Amino acid sequence: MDTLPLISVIIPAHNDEAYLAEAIASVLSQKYSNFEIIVVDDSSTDGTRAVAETFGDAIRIISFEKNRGPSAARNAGMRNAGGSIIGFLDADDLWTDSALACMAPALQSDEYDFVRGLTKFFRNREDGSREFEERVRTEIVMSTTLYKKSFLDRVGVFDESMRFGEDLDWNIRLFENGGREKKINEVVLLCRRHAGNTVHQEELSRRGMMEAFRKKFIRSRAK
Amino acid sequence: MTVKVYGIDSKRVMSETLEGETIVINLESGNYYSLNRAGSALWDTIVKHRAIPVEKPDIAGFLDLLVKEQLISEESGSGDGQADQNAFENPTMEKYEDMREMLLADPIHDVAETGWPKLKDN
Repeated sequence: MDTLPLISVIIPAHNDEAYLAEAIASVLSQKYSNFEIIVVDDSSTDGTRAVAETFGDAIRIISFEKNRGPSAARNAGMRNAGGSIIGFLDADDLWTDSALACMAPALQSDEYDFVRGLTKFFRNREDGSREFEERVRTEIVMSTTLYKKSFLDRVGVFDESMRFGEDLDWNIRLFENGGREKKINEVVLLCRRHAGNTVHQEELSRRGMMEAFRKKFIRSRAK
Repeated sequence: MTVKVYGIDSKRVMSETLEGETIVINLESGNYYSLNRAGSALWDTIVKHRAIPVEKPDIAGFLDLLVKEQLISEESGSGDGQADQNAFENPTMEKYEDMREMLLADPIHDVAETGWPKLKDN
């Protein structure tokens, strides 16, 4: 099994003490054996760091002194990644145990630059059990994707000036850089829904989306 | 002169004008559009809720297209003033569908009033 390429799993976390252990456990229970986990604690003020430390040597922890946002956290993870394949998992989400095993083979040839599986959304009931949305989602979600590190060197880093829309900006750049995508028809991500998006959050999300479009527009004009 | 008034459903549609070109995004379909200068001027008129003369076929056709793409809808009433039809010569737009999988990924789009989507036990 040692011939499998090393996958660096980067988990940015900010005040995720309630969920982080589940996220890490979902990586540790992968059928794929050769991975490293890098948790980037983005200056959490809750017990996120303590939760991460309970996993001991199974993970590496990077800590920010100041809150810098998810882009900076993912970038720090990438800079410290030793794998030839990179994956990002949000601290409140979970991978299915076959997520890495079903996606990684697509990146072992020269044919593809990144590989993407499917998503199912869920939420926790009050008794702690999980309630799953019926629909399987095919859309691009950050945590459904594995990337070749060599390809990401071409794409660049996450835009740290963006607090919202940074994932859309990143996804746009994947394709602008000629990324060749392999789609896997299997659910790899269990994405947690949180109650009540506020109007304010929705507005910020929309502004972030527009910002990503603005950057795309500027790049296209610069060509 | 026949005039029509249109409105934009801001929950579904967002737009921004950059260097005379307007980008319009339909958050429900995941399609986005690029409007030329005349199209952008016309879009701005719709944003300002002004009545638009629809006698010129290029203007009428363009507005029909915006309606068909569910970016605007016709409204009753007289609007906030009236636009000059000569300000819009040959408005056009391009439609792009290549970002649907990115734009529809955000869970906010199908969250119900209560903040939760309709769920089913697994």
